[in-house]
Amino acid sequence: MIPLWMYLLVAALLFCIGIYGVLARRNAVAILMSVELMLNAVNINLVAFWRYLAPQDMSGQAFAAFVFVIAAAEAAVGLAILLFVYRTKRSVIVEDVNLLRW
Amino acid sequence: MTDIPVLADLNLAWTWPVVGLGLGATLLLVADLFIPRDRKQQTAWLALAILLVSFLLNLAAFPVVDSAFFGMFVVDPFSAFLNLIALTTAFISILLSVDYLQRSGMQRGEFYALILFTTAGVMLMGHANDLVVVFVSLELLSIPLYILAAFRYPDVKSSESGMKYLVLGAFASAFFVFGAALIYGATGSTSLPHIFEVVARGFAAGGAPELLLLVGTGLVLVGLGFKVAVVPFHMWTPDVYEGAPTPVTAFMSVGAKVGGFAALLRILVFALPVLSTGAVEASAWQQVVSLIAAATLILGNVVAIAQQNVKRLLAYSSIAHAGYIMMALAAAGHAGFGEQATRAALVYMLAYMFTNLGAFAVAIAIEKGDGSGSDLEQFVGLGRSRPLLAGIMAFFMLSLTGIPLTAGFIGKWLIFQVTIEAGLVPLAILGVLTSVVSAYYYIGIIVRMFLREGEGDPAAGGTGLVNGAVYLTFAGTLLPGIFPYLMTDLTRVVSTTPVGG
Amino acid sequence: MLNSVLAAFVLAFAAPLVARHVPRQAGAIAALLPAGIFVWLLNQAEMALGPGVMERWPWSPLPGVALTFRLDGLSLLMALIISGVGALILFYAGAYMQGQAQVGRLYALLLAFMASMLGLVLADNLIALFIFWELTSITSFLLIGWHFQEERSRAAALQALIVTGGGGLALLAGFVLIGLVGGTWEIAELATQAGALQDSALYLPILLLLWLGAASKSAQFPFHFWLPGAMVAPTPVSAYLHSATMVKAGVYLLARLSPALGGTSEWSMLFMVTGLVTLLLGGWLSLKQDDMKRMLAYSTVSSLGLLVTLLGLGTKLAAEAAALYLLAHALFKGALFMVAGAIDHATGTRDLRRLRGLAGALPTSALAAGLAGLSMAGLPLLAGFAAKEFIYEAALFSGGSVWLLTLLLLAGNVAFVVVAQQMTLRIFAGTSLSFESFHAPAVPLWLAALVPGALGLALGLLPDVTATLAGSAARAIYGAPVTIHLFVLPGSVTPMLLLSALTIAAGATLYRRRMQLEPWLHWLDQGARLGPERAFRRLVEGLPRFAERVTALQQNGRLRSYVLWIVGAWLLLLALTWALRSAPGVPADLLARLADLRFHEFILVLVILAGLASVMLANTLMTLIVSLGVVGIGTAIVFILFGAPDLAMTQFSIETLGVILFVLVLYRLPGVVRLSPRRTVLRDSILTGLAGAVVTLMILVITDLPLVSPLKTWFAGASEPLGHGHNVVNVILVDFRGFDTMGEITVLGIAAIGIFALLKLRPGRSAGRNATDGKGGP
Repeated sequence: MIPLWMYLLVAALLFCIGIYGVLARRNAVAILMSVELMLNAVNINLVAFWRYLAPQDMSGQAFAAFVFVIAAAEAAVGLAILLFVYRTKRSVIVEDVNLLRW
Repeated sequence: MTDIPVLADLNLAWTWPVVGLGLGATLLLVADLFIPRDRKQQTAWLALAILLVSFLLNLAAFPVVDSAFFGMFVVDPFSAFLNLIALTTAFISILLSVDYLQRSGMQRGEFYALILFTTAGVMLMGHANDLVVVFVSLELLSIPLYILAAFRYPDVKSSESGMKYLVLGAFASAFFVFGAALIYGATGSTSLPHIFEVVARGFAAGGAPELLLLVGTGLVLVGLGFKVAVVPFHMWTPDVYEGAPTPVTAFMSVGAKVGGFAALLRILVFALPVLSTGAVEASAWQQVVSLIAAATLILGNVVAIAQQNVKRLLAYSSIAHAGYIMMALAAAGHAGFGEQATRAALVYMLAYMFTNLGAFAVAIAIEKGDGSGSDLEQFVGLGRSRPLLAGIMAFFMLSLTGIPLTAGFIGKWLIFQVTIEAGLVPLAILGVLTSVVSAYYYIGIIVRMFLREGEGDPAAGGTGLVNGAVYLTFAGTLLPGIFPYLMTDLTRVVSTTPVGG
Repeated sequence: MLNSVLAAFVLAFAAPLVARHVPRQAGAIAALLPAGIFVWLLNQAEMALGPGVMERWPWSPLPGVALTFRLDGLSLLMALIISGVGALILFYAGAYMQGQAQVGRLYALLLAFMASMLGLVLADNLIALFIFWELTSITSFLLIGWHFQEERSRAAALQALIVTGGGGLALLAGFVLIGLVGGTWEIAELATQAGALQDSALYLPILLLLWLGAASKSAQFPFHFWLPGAMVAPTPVSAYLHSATMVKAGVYLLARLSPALGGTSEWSMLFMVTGLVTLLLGGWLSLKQDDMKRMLAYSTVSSLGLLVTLLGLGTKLAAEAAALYLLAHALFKGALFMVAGAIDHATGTRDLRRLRGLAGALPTSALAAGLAGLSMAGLPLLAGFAAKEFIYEAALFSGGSVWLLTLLLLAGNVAFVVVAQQMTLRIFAGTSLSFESFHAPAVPLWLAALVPGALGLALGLLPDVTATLAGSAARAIYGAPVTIHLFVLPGSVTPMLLLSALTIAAGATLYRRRMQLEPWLHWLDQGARLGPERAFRRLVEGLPRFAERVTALQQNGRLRSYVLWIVGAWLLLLALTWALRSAPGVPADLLARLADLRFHEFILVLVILAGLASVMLANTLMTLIVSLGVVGIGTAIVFILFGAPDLAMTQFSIETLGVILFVLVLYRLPGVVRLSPRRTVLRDSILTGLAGAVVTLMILVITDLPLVSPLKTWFAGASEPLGHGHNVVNVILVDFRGFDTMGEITVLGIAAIGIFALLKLRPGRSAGRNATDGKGGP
């Protein structure tokens, strides 16, 4: 069986790539997707820990289930708000949306 | 194989303040369908009634210590006290909203339901006894706020505010939940009392905490630090506060912060107080929290000076106040001070709640229907046109500064005291110094109101409901200032021993 | 005592009402309150001079904080001055402010100030004292800014508030430290803790914080500048707050705490140096002034410096001298201020150059000024004389650098003599000038000044009364029994008498030759411009500019730079954690472990990595969505590998739903993804690369630790499996996660509602036809 650390590594890389996406993408939709990526990383972690450390206790799996359902809710609300921004501003490029500052 | 639990196993008795609020909010949505479009105020009255019922239920639950939902939900004075703050915040925010929404043409029933949901999220945060519950309540608190921030349509600023809050909020949530996963990995449990036991045993056995646990705690700190808006996770605050509808900002400035601190206290003080790196006295996170507190105090207070918009000013001031609460948290990291520091933080939040909501109420009174008029110059001459309102606002400013005979003073006092007793003297001195700096901008508002010649704003937004909120918050700021027992007696029963397991 | 303080506060609110109904007598009526307190104090005098009167009101839950009041010799002396001068001032203000707008508010503020000041001197608990201290700062702020229409007034008021209020907060910090070391905030008990306090490592910080508070309140160098500025206030205010009472608060505090904290070389050094510098600087600056009030203000600064010097000296004689001078100064300076106000009122000017020969027109004021001036100059038969004798005696028997100290004190006293002559000879003697708008002053304007002037004479003639009052105060300062012996006239020629004579002679000479001093004074004036006031102004003006710069730096409105800050902070935190732990080395058998990988696992990793690569590189949103789906499905396969097929099923469905959702939104949005400029990409890559590297290293380290530590085994054994179901979703739904699921469903529901509300708000176009509608809550 693959050792735990490999899963952790993949998860960590996934998380970092998600961060990279949030940093580097200029389109708000793409940024939201990158956040989803980060949450996927969390899930890999949770399930791996559950499997290796406490397989008889369901906490880890349950946590993972909550994470992705809530991620979906967040994405849904996020997309609605972005549509909103698009309607008022005709753009979802985050650089263009900075009326609020100082 | 699976024992399907019956309702009685859930031990619902003392959970009704939260569960009832959630149910009430759901019913409110249904009821709202039957309320005609031009009489949406009735939804607000219903929402207020629901809050009142929840408030009374919560009062009845005050001294109870119990757990429900198989130990994932805990009822103790800590959560009951936070519930009082959360419910009062929601009550006052709705008082502020009714006429505001009418004026700016966004009177919708969903608004009130969303406020109730996010309040339930704040309360659930205080009750959380499991990382999963903390995460769920964090989202329950946040998602309605994202929507509320963008509620003023088609205002560009409002949608920008919603977008920034959402993107950064989701980003921070990912940090939090990654951290929670690592803590789970390090301890094998998501239940806070279990985590406490595991870590305490490890510590008693002489072991150092695992790297995984430290990294996880750090990530949780980032995620929650964002929610409570401490430096360097604070940048969203002024932008979001300015763009969001003002009553929402008022709610956010207290509700989201109280919720975030509830989770921070639950995780750091209740579950991980003995996360020590070998030096016996202090927790591993104490240094980091102290640094964050110091940075927050300095940046929040200094930058507030430059602000020309009252909402942005209050945003930075709220950052600064998060810094003071952070001081208490740092003190709680010292062995033996967890309880005292938690009580100080609770009193501080109560005082801050009344004072800050009061200041927002006055800001709403002078704001125009189209959302403009939150410039600081609007305060010029208010002492002449609305002397009573201006006088009360001056009192709020003094309380935020921490001048004696105000609730703010008592809160600051308790926090400085515990910080010093826990041996963090430099941090306490920094707190006092930054309070001096904060006087600069708070008193600047008083000077504008009373000592500058001007027309004086008619404060058209000061309707009966808004005035009611102003008087309510004024009483809440003045009375505890004169009779501090009113606040401190409530926290006397608060204990930081983890419940259940 | 609480009653009298509270009564004053409550009655202060009634003052505007009185002023509205009986505008002419309002001042006199308001004066009845302080007069009543004065009488009550005299009634208590016997007790106060003996054992002292105590009162304690538990008021606050904060441990150690209570409203404790104590009336002993020192507080009696201060309280008598506060109530006595207060009564005169209100009486005086009734005439001085006659016919001005909102005069009732002035009475109210004066009474409120008096109440705070009484509380300050009566309080025996440091925290209660601090509260009253800040209240006096606030009332003083409001009174200085009385003419708030004028920019000058507002600036002066704010300056005074920032200096004294800020000093007050420093004081609070000092008090907290005192409480920490001494274990109590009760002043009476602190005196018994003197040893502990002075040996503590915190002693010096305490002294410095105390210094900040006292020096700012009592206008000591380098905080002296706010006091002359405060002269924009109406004269009754200046006479009351800024010469007789409030500015003495700092001095009072030092006197009060000297038994507990005084007597060390640090204490003497700090306060004597501050006091002497202030004495000389104030004296020098007072010579230069042409405005009567500014001259008196600088002279007050100088007097306060003298008092601080005496308290710093800390000997028994110095304590006696300080008590005597405190009393004498309050009387003569108050009288001179009121005379200045009366002259201003009568002639319309306060400019010394334009005033001459007023004795004929204002004979009664001239008498008052004469008595006060003689006392100030320290001539025999008056209260000021005895004070000056004791000052010189204290200096001569100080035991240190006797001659230097005596010389410096002499120089300071000479300046007082000059000011006394300016206020008497220069104004009242000589041929009279004519003033256009001259009108004879009302009775209170001169009577109120004459009373303290005459009292100065009475105290000089009744040495026993003076000695009892001052002796009892000196006892409180010195901390041990003190008896003062005073005589009406000196019985024999002593060194002190000679010094007094020398002072007067030098003062008289200097006064006559003051014209020749001009160039010197002018030169000094140039220097003063670089003084602390300028520093203060630069600080106050520079702060907003600095704040603006910081804001612009970090609050640029760009979402991505905010994210950058968060990530940066997180990296820092990681590095900190890393530094906290000494890192074990990277395991050596890393590559060997890779051999454990099975083929399908290898493929899976490849799939995920490929998905990731295209996520990073994708330049249209559609590619991005598809890559995201690939990664999601890869994750789901991981779940299957772990034997959690149910979870995987849920992940599949949610992933599919997510993809559909994004695609639907895409339908409404422009599909092109603009990538950042190359430099930004580089920056972001480096940052995330760094994060990735740190995390990777950490995980490699973690793997080297025992994976299942004893703790975990203990935990695994101890935790009874609560749910036995094999399908996690079922377990969640029916088992112990019930509540959470409810929460989760609520979250989803809210999401749906929110989206619905947001989309419905759209004006104009018909709602509900949007792509995301109905998909809100998967």
